[in-house]
Amino acid sequence: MKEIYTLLMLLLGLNLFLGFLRVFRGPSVVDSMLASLLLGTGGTAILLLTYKVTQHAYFINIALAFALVAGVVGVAFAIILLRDVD
Amino acid sequence: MLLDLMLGSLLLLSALLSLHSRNSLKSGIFFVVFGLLSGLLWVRLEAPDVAMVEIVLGSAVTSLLIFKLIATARIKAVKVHRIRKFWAGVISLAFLVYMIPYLLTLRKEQRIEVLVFEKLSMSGVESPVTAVLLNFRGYDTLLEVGVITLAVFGIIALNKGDKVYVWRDPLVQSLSRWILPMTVFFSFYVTYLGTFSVGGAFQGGSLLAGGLIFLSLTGQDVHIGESIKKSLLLLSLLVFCGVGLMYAVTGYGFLVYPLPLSTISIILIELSICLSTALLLYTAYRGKV
Repeated sequence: MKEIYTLLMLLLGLNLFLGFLRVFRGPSVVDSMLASLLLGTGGTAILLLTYKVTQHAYFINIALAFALVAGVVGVAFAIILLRDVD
Repeated sequence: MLLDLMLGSLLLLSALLSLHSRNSLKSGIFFVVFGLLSGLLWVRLEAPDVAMVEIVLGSAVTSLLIFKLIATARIKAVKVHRIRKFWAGVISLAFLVYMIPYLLTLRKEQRIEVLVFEKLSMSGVESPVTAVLLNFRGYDTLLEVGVITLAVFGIIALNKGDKVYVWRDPLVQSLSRWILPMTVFFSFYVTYLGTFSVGGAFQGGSLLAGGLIFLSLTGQDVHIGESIKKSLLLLSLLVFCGVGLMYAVTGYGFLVYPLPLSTISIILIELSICLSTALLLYTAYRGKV
């Protein structure tokens, strides 16, 4: 079972890496922002997997906090920076 | 190990890119990524408390403030002097060079965690971080709360009626209305968790601030009076000083809790800090009460 978790962790790490590449390459700013939200999802998955490995329940709390604020950041980016002022 | 290496190098890259991107929007995005990756790295370093602060405060609430700064800087063209950047770099490098040998030669007995775990039963809480923050070094935290409060009053004073960024889209409005109760519940839960696990008042307050800012981005607001908001801004300072003074008058000393009352005092202070931090960050974002 342990090997599966290690493998999944590495895959998620690779996912972060590729997502980071997308953030860097763009091409447009919107693509970068969406890719950074993907990084947030990958990060949540890593946190949950860490919980599975270590059995410390506080990782679930951190993951939940992560998930709650990630959406806000995406929406705020769209409203503050991409939209013209009302 | 491989994951740590990957996270570390990506962290460094995102820091560099957020400083040196030509497009200021991309700098903002890389700042978000930086906060996120450093949060993950703290988790990997087995420091969940710092990870939670970094994720909630560093990656979310600070990015919201930075987005607003970028939006303003695009209008006003703010430039930082090269010499100032240079000095910031030199000081950081000197600090790094000073810290590395210190951290590498530190012996186990000298570490603070041994001392903290020895005295933990006397603090009234089970979480070592909260014990240090609100009991052993309560004075420092009191001053920190004072600094945040003063900073926000500075922001209110400097406000010149900047543009308000809202989008009155019904879809986003109802989403923010749905998310806010969950955020409120979870932020108080995180604050309560601070007494025995990973969590705390500042994390909970910033989460709450995130929910409130989301609400204000969609052109809505919580309908509480301005005077109540103003008193909530000062609540934590008031409760903290009040509790401290109460024990000073009754003969225990400033911020020295008697053991049977320490848990309830710490929970009271934590709740007030949670509420005030949320309102303070929300005010810092909006620039006005």
